[in-house]
Amino acid sequence: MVTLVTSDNEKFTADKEVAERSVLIKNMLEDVGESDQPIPLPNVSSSVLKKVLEYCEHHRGEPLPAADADTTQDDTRKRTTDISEWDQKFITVDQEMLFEIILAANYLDIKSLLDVGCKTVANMIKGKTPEEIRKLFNIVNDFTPEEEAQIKKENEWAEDR
Amino acid sequence: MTSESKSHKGGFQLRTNVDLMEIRSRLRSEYGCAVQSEEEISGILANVDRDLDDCKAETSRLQARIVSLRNQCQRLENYKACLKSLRSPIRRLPNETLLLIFDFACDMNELSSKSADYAALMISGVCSRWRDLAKFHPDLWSCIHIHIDKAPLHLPSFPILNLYLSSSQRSPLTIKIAGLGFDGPLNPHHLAMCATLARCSTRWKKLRVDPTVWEALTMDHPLPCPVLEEVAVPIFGPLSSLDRFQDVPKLCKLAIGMVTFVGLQEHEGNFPWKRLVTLKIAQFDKGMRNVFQVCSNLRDVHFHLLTQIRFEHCALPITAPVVERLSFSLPWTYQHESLANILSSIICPSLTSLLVEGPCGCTNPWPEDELNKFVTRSSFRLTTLSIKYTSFSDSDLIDLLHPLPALLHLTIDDSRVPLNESPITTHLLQSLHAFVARPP
Repeated sequence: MVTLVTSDNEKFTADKEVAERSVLIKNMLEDVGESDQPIPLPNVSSSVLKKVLEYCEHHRGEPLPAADADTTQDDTRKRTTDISEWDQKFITVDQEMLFEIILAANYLDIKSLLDVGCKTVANMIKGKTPEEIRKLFNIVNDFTPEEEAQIKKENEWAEDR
Repeated sequence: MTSESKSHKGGFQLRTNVDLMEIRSRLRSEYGCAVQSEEEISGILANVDRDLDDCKAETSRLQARIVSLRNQCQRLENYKACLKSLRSPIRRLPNETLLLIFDFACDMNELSSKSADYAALMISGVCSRWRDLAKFHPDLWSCIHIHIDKAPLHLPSFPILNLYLSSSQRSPLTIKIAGLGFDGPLNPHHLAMCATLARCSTRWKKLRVDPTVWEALTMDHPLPCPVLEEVAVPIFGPLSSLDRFQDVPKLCKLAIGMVTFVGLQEHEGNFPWKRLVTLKIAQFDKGMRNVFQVCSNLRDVHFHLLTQIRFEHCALPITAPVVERLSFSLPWTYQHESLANILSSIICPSLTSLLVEGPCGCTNPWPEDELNKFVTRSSFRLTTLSIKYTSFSDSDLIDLLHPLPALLHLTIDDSRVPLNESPITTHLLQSLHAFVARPP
């Protein structure tokens, strides 16, 4: 078992096999060797780590992507936004949690979870206009008048007769 | 009757005592000799005019104040929106993660009638950070799907396509053009679009087009396609139809229609047959022997059976020495001998995956004998078997599984099969034995 300590000082224990789905934790465990020392995760809160461990537990035993995966594999990985049914249910959370999971997956280096999070956001973006995207993610239009004019022109090119 | 008006900040007092009841009563009683002097009324009227002027001035001042307050509100609202946007969760993502999201979102930029489908363009119009990221990452603009019937081809030189081609800079292109079918007419707009795309042939990486578009694209053939890896063109014709692919040194995946390979050895040309790893084809005849002999790296073969065409049986089985993955897609109706004929005509000693995907509820007879003989004749170590949407019996499946002890992945999808024609039965489940896989 591995003990993980979150940013809000909560302790979680997890099977080594589950925790090691995070490349960061795997490397840390390799560095410290056989030790009961808890692993601090200062960038992950307890609510987020709970979700991350739920994901790792569900995907326990599945093959991990090779560290030196070639670019072709990477290309294929990127060119589909399909998400499995379980993953879809898992990632159905509010925006705050969604982005926290993405940040945690990035920090903990869990590629498959990062992909699930990013694909979910990509699917939210697809088929939407810039204004709809701004509204969805609470983004402010900060373009200069010159940029605005250029964007208007580009969008005119995209419009059908 | 009158009093001095006094303007002050935020209001003023009227000079006039506006007593409407009194004035109405006077209207009803003052006439004839009772009428007041004109001088007195003129004096009151002058005061009323001054009061009216003061009222108008005050109204203007208040209106200006309202406008000013409204502007203030708007500024505060904008400021609040900016503050709220500063703490928006998506802002916390680092650029590389945001780019990964954009990569997924731009898996295919559909240049159709709905501008919201132009993923990279939409992303570049959200805010300055997103625009900078999109503009500095040409890959996001490199997957282009043009639906000819819907794209804004009416604009001179199709500027949106040029924007995508220029924004993708030197990135290899994935191009998919659909909508014309096999014999759709090409109008001058289509031809101009094809000419624009043909000028970028050195950047084509994946190309999926209708035959008529392919003809137009390769009008000045052979086009140099040094990075082209994957082509899908449903060509129906002789082997010479492939002559347009003369300068494609990296091509490894080819999906074509009905092309006979009889005479392939004499007609190899510059086509990179030896590099070919994947072949999807809607044809099977004795010419396939040449394919398996010449294509020394061909590991993945997919046969797409056709409704009207009966695939031939070859008396002398053809050996596909390196083919590891064999798949069949069956249309709604097909010549049922076709699948049996292919299975009885080939030997695949290296096969590890066999996949059959039928249409919804197809009831063509399952080629049990031919499949079992294929398995025995090839003596491969199959690790993956997938049969989807196909009606066959549980005993057929049990017979098929029997000689496959190395099987690691079994998929039987009966989701579109009538219940009484599904192979998944209690009898099947009782006859299955799973063993712990030993490392190879």
